[in-house]
This record gives sequence, structure tokens and C-alpha cells, in this order.
Amino acid sequence: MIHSPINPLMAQFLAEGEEILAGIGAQVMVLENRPADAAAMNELFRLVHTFKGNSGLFDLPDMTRVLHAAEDLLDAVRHGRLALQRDHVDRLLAAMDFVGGLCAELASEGAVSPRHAGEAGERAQELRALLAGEESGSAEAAALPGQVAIDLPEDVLVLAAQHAGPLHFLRYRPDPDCFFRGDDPFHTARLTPGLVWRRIVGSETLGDIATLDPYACVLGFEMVSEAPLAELEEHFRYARDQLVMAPIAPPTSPQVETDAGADRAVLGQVLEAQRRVVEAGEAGPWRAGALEAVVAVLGNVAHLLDDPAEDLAGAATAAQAGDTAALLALIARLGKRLGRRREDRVQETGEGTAVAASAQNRSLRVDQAKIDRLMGLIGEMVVARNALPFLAARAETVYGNREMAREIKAQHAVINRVTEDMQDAIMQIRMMPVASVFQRFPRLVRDVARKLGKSVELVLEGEDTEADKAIVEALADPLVHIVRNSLDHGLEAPDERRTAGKPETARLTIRAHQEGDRIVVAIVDDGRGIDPDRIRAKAVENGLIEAGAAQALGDADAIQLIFAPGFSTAEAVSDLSGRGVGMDAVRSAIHALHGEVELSSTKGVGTRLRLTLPLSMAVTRVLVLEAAGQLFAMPVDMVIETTRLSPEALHGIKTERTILRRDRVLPIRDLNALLGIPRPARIDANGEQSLLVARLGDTVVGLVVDGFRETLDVIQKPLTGVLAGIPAYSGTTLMGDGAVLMVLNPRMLL
Amino acid sequence: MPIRLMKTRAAFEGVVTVEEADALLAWVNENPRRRIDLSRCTHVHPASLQVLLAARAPIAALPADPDLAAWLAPLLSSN
Repeated sequence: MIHSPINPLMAQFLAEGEEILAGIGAQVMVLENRPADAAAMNELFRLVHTFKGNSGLFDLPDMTRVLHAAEDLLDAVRHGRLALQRDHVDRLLAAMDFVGGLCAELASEGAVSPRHAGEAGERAQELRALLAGEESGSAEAAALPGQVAIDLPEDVLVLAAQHAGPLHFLRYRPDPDCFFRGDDPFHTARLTPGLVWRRIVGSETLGDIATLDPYACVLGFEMVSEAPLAELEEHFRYARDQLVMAPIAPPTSPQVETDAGADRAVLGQVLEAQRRVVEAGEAGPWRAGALEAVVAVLGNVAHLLDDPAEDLAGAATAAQAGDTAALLALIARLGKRLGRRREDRVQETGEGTAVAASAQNRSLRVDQAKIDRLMGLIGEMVVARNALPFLAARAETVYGNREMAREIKAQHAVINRVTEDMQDAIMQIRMMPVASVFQRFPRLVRDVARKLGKSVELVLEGEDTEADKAIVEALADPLVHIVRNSLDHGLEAPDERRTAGKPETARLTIRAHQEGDRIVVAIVDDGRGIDPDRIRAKAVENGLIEAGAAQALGDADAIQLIFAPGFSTAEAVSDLSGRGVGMDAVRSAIHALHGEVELSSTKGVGTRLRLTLPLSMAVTRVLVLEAAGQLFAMPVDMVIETTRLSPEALHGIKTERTILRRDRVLPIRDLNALLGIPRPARIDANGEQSLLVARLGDTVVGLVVDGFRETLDVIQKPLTGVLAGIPAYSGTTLMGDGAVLMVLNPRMLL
Repeated sequence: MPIRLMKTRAAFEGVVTVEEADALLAWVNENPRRRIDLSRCTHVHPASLQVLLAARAPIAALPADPDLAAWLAPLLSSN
């Protein structure tokens, strides 16, 4: 195979493939729960069919082979010849995983290595075996081939797709000795009712004329018929065992929909052409003929659009006399009618198709790098905007022009509004529903639950809740960890649940919703809950905490120990969870997104994890503060209040300095000390210091700083190079006057 | 006789039955370059058809019968 760089067509194929595979997974899960869901079945078939078709555009025989087998299997299911069972679902999913693997290889290597051929064969064979195994059960089904219609020529398939009404493909292979029974199979074939296409096959196996036995029938007959199945059965009643018959995809297939749409587009062009001819208006010997042609075309178009067009004759006469107004009006009316029909069509078709069609028309696939660039530009715009107040101040103080300063400020207000709208717009572009992450869970939960022998019902809620793409994507791994943990440790096996008086099927709910400018994802299970005593014991055993300290912890605090690095309750490391990296990793991942994790659990009743994340990481509102003559920024959502600290309020507990504030003991830290600056914070004329009260997760800390400045909306740039290793900063941004502002990450500061 | 076997060509007429296959085979074997005229043929038994196909006998004319022509044309056009 040629190693070629990925071309745009291939890139599109891969992008679509990803979506299709996700869709296939989703539909399979729907079908497993509701096998009779015809809409899901059709959608699933359509997806596999489309994917197979797409894969045929490239030299991907392995992929096409597996998809083809899957398509045949689904076709059998769709037509009720086969009931979808767990086994089928397993193999289908495994086959799709294999295809997904091929896609991944294609994306990274630019080609698929031929070594997959063996596995592809096995997968396809597995799927076909399901088909064959099931169908050999009944006599009628035995005649149905797994691989019917594959070798039909392309033009026949196109013909079939355009044909109104159901079609059947027939392959008639007479017995070799049928001539001796007085049969004329060709005659039988010729008299088949409703033939729309036919051919004779097998002539290539005749061999040489010298050795020919003309009385051994080797010819076969392949036909496509529009006759009803019963009539065909009747016609071939004496040769039923020599005949295979299969329905050809009904003309309601999406391809035909597209064709209809294309037809309408063509009709639109036709109408437009007529309008131009009429409007051309040049007198000539051919004018009368041209108008006649236009009238004839319009008559046909009107007929197609169910328009009686009673005024056509009158308009034609008027046009021949030189007045084309009526004819043009008629064309306009037909055009409108065509447009309306097109809309009707979209509304009539199933919801799914309509959505797909409109999504296809309205959405634009854009490389993320382009969006990022736009984002960067808006970031610079924000910096430039932030410079205007400085400019206004300079106009007033340096150049003494107050008028000018006011005008600059007015202009700043306008630019401010526009940049805010721009920020909002770009954030909207980057928003995507959490469904893209949620959709993997039905499959995951199903697979893991089966492996563990547990029965679990997964409930997904709020899948259309949107958040920034980066946030949604980064949610995936932590969620997988959490769900696996819940399945592995949280939910009990069916008999244990029965003993506990719970329904055998456990319930796992993943729920997303928006709360202000945060997105909240809750993972709730009705399992055995977390036993605080067991956690205490394990934490002591793992050396994470002293025995005494563990006993002193309240139950609610004790269960938080599962977030401690190195904590593990599992007796054995399974491939699911239990390596002691789970919850610690989850918490760091969520913290990295400026999010929070809350855990609550009631023993015997269930566990609830609540992840709170910002909707977007694009724009951060920060409070600019001063420390040791430098400016730093602190995200505003961490700031509870800014206040003054007088020395009398300070209490010393051991080496810790604290104050009592709003009935809480607040530990006091020096920002300078935390940043390693050997200079005490500024003390003002009243002997007071500036104090920033910040919330870091569950704890609240007072930070002593030199002073406060304004708040700013900034787009943070991540630290790169050697600076990237300094966790005390979450990023940098530019001030309006061009100064670099370091954004503190207070969580890592302490 | 539905087939008139001549020196340079064979003319098929009406329904060619299974009986003709032997004679046709012998005739074709004598000289495989002889041409076949199917224009007045309305049906041909597959045994005879197999002879025509195996012999790759050149076709002088396809059947006038549209249905038979539709069946045979793609096959015989390569003869």
C-alpha cells in the first residue's frame, strides 16, 4: 500500500468515521435495550451502510470487508430475519472497535497495514457466522444468502435505488441435471413476473467446446423483479430450492432522499434557465420557437409540482404577442412552489433525517487551530482594549487634555462592548454538548458490568449541557475513572443487592447541568456507599495518615481520604481499577481545569460525586494585586473578599498566624513569603496591611499582599519552556500597558 | 426444424428446443467460425445456448424478440 499523507478527502472520511462509529455505538446500545426500535435499527443500518460506502472510496479492503459483513447482519435484523441478541451486539461492537482501530492507524500512519487482513477476515467471518447460524434454522430462511446482491453491477443498484416500490433480487441456479427432467430453466426465468433487470451467469464455467456436455446445466439466472414476494414464490414453487431471493434496500434509503433533493435543485436550475430565455426578449426568427419550448418545459415542471398551471396557455399567447409579464409571474410562482416543496420534504422526513440535513447545511467543519488563532487574536484585542484607559489617563495627566481623555474613554466603552461580544461569540463556537463524552458510557458501563457480573442501569441526564470543548474533552478521562470505580467498588453484585433489599439492577446516574458560569456533573450510584471505617483503616495501612488522626476525622472527612495520592482499597489490582491512582488522578485532573470535586456517601445507600468546572477556560476575570513592587493576578472566582488587616486582630496559634473573621479561624499567609520574596508586605500609615481572602477548595486562606489594583478580563497563555514547570502560576497575560502579568494558581501556592 | 444449419451460418427460428443441442454442437465443431443468425428466434433452450456460448460462435444478428435480446445481448456480444 502506498504511504501517502492524509489528503483532505481522507481527513473528512476519518472525521466522519469517528462520528459514525460513535453513532453506531449509541444506536447499538439503544437496540440492546429496545430491540424493537425500528428507528434506531434503520439509523444503525444507515450508519454502517454509509461508512461502508465511504470506506470503499479508499483502498481499505479490510475495513470494507468487516463493515460489509456488519451491514449484511444488520440488514437481516432489519428485515426481521434475525433477532438481535447479546451475542450479536458483542461481536458487532468488537467489529466496530476493530474498524475504529483501523481508522486510528489510518489517521496516524496514513495507511492501514496489510497485517490486519487476518483479523478482518475473522471478524467478518464471525458476523457472517451469526447470520448463517441463525438462518439455517428455518427452511425459508435457508434460501436467504448472506451475501446477496453484492456482485450486482453499480448501474443496477442505482436503478434499484431509484425504483419506486420494493424490489427483489433473485438468483436462480438450476440443478445441473435439470434438462433430463424436461425443465427449461431459461424459460422459467424469462417468465418471472415483474422483471426489471436480468442476466445470465456462469457462461465462463462452460469450459472448452471440445469437452462440452450441453446437457449439464451450468448457466444461472440473476434477476431483479418488482413483483410481490408471494408472486415470485408462486412462480418458482417447483424450483424453490434452486433459488435465492433477497429484498433490495427499499427506496426509502437516504440515497434516494438526496436524489430527490438533487432533482429539486435541478428543477430550480431549469426554472431559472426558462426565466432567462423569456427575459432575454431579443426578437428573432427563433423567438417564437424558444417561447414554445419554454411553455412546454414549464408545463412539465408544473405537472411535476402538482400545479394545474391553468394560466399557462394564456401567458403563452401573451408572450408570443410580446407581453412576457404573465409568463414570468408563472415562473416565479413555480419557483416559490418548488421552494415550499423542498421545505415540506424536510419537515415530512423523520426527525433524524431532518436534523441531519439541516446540520449538514448549516454547520461548518473548521480546523480547531483556526478557532484557536481567532481566540488568540481576540486575546490581543482585549489587551489592546485594556490599553485605552491607560491612554486616557496619560492624555489627562501627561498632556493635560481632559476633553481628549473623555473621548478616549467613550471610545473605550464602545470597543469594550464589541470585544465582549466577540469573546462571547468565540466562546459559543467552542461550546460543545457533554453528550460527546457521555455517549461512550452506555458501552463502557455495559462492558464492565458484564465483566463483573453486575446488572447496571445507566441513566444519562442533561447531555445537551454545553461547555468549552477543552473542558468537555478533559472531562472524559476523570469520568471514566469515576464510573469504573463506581462499577467496581460501589455497585454490588445482584445477589448482594437482593440480600440488602435493593432492586437487583443497580442504578448509575450521570447528570450534567449548568449553574451560573459553571458546569456541574454529578455521578450518583445506589451502591453500597463508602464505609468510613474501612477507609480509615486502609489509609492507615497505606501509611497516608496516623492512626490517631484517622480516628479523629469525622465520617464525611474520612471518605475524602480516597483522594489522597496512593490510596487504594482494592485487595487485588484488576484491569478495571484498584491501582491506587484513580481518585487522586481524578482530583488532579479536575483541579487542573480549575474545577472542584465533592464527594458524599452514605453507607448502604450510595455515593455521589459532584464535579464543578468552569464553562469556559477562555476568558478569566482576574484581580490584579501587588506584591513586592510586582503585579500578579488572582482569578476572581477564588477571591472571597479583600479587606484590611490590623496587627491587633492577629492571633498566633503555634507558628501559624490566624485571625478570627466571620466566626471562622482564618490562617494568614504572606504572599511575598510564598513567592520566596524576602521582603515583608507593605504596612500603610494606619499600620494596616492589605488582606486577600481566597477560597482554595474547601479551605479559606488570608493572603497578605502589598495592595490591590483593578480587575481585568484576560485570556491566559499557558507557560511554556522552563516556566512551564512552575506550578505556582497558571499562566500569563499582557496588561494594557504591555507589562506581563503572572496569574497565580493559589492552590499550588500553598 | 427450428434451426437451419447452413454452410456459413445457422438461422434460428421460433423456439429452439433441447433436441437441437446435439446437432448444433456437431455443426459448430465442424467449423467454429460459422455465424449464427438469431433474428427470428423467440426462445432458445439453455442446452443449445450453452453450445453457442462455449463455442463463442460469432453472432450475425441478435433476436428481434426484445425480451430474448435483453437476456442474450450482454452474453453474446463478446462472441
